[in-house]
Amino acid sequence: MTLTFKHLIRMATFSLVLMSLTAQAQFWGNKKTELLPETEAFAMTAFIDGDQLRIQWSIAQDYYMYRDQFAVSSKTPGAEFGELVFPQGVVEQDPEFGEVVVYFFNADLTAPIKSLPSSGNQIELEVLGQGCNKPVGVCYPPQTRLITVDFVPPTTAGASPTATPGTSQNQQQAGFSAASTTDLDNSFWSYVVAAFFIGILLSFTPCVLPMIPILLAIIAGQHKPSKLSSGLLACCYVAGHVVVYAIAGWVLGKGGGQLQAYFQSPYVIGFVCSILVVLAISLFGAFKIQLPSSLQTKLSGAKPNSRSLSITAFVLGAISSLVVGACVSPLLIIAIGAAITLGDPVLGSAVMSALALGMGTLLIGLGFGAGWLLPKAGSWMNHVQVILGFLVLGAAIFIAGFIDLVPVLYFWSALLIWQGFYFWSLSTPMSSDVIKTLFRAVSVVMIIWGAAALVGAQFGGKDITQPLDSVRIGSINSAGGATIDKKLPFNRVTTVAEATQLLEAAKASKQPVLVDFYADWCLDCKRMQRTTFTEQSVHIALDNWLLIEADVTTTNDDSEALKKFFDVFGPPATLFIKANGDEHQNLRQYGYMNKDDFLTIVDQAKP
Amino acid sequence: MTNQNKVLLLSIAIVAFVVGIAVNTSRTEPLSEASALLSAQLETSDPITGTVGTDSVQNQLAELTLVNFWATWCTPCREEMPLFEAMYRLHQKDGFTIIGVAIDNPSTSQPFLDSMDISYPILYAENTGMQLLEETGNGQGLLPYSLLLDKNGNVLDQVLGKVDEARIQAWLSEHL
Repeated sequence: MTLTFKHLIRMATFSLVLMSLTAQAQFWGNKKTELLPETEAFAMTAFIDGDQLRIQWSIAQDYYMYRDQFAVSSKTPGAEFGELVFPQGVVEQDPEFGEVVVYFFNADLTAPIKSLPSSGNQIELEVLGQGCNKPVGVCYPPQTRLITVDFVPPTTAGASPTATPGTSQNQQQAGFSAASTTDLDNSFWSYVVAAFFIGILLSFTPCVLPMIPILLAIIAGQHKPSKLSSGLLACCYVAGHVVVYAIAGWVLGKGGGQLQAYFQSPYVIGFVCSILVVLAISLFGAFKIQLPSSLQTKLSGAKPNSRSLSITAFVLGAISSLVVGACVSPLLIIAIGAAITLGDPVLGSAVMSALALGMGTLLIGLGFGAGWLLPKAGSWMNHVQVILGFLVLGAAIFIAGFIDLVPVLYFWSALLIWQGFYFWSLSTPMSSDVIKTLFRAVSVVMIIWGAAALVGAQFGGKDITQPLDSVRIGSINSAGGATIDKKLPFNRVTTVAEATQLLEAAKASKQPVLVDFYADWCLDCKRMQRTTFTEQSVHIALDNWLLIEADVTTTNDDSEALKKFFDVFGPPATLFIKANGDEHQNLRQYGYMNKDDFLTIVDQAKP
Repeated sequence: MTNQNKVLLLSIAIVAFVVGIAVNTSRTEPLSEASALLSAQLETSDPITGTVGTDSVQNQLAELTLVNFWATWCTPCREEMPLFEAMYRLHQKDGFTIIGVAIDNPSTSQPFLDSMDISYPILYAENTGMQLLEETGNGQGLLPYSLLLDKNGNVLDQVLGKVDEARIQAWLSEHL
């Protein structure tokens, strides 16, 4: 009895702390739109490199700067520079100026040195630049920055400033390469650190939730759980994530392959679900998950159980991370955008590993906490294992829900009702009335919720948090008919030639165009087809639009060219093109959009 | 751990949870004070003749006024101005007005205003604009920045970034 009470208190405390953390995280999440101070959004360094001045702007993620607003002038008499030379940037459409060149991440400017002062070793420069934040859509006032730049003065009295002697040339060369490396390192680490924090934020989203029961299940599988060994198991589990993400990052950085194709493939999801179901069955006590005995003897040393468990944890971590990718892909794309742009597999790997580590921080903490949380042994441990088994099944259902065809509410309903009766049976032998009634109350709630889910499932509902939503919508439907069966008249294209032909035609007839990047394996695309694109209001809003569906289901040269042509990472992406043929770049969307979000954007894109 | 400690821990967790939720839900941005903006004497320029003069926001307040800070170098600002113009033309008769405060000078701004066919009043604050932004709750001087004022110049709402049509419609139905 004391055991019961103690563990109830512990579980309750722990879950409340978790929930309050989540509440705080959402609070900070909401404030994420907070804009950076201008010196962090647009950081600038300048130095002399041989016969030219180099100005390096490093631009924070989501921010960009305008080419035409860059300028530099010398505040030191005797120092003069030629015209600025710009790197190739991104062309944006501006309603007033037409094509405008902007830079994301980095802008590396050079200016030829016309002359340097004959004495001293420093010059003062005034550097101008101006930029904006893309997602929020706000601009910073034009920046004027003063910077002092070192230069190597002529070593001999006779040498002219421009004809620098060989020795100092070498020094400058050395100085430059050092400077450029540190600069690269800086931005490299800033991406990695940013990815780590994005990971931590992600761990408070439903994406990481299914990980928690899986991890707890592994921890509960130990013979003698201790705080330390549970924590180590959690580390193994997270290490599994990190390895998978590092590989994914390498692939993305190298070729920007269709990573989502693997993450969102029904085969991967099916595979992971079956693994989870097996895990749940083993937790129910049917058998013990163990490595094959031959492998076990090969790998194991003195402590066979703990080592094979660590390997199990690592493997399960690797497997389950495959699915989390499906859930967070739009954010993943943001995190890895830099690596893709730079085509740098090392950066890709580093960014993705940092993201995985960030997501794992909570899990590792949980692992060390779990040793304290879980009862040591005895019959209670068996009950805890069974409850974890239910939670793992829940995780499997949640993951299966990524596939649109799966009627998840039936599964949820079965799980909840089963679990409810299990809780009731737990309560029977209890001596304390308070605890007994608490358990029964919980079991009744579960059974009712399960029943509601069953009703919702009949009406084609999907969401376990709102099981009866579909019933409500269903009744509106029969009354007013908010959705229609007719498909939107999309023109399917698979090559750039087909796309340009349609775009030209639309331009000629002054028709706006919607381009939807679609693939069979893209679950969000399918979901949009099923929900948003069946809404009558959406059909009406898109009435005079030319609709293009860019199908990139099969990865080949054509699909790669198509993505490159529209400058899109991959599906789901929705582009809005004006009647004059220019794209509304600011309205471009990645990811799933519901009816309201979609209509708001169509409204903004209206000619 | 004694039972007393456990109960203590549990109560701390409950308090943390409640505070977390409360903070989360009650978070509303404090509205700014517009008095500095209302009284500031700003430059005006006749769109056709180019005659310069001065005027204040206070002097132009309607039943409901949207003051929009913008500049020619700010693309999002220029993107939202056609919407402002349309809403101004539609709802001017209902007592709604828009005042554009340009952090710019008339000669740079006028070509843009002409091409976008802007007819709502524009005041110019090329040199004092940044300070005005700071005094109205926008310390970083970010644009676009819009303040919704009632007929006495009290701030009803403020938006950093572009304003969408739905929001303007909501303002109009709520305040007019």
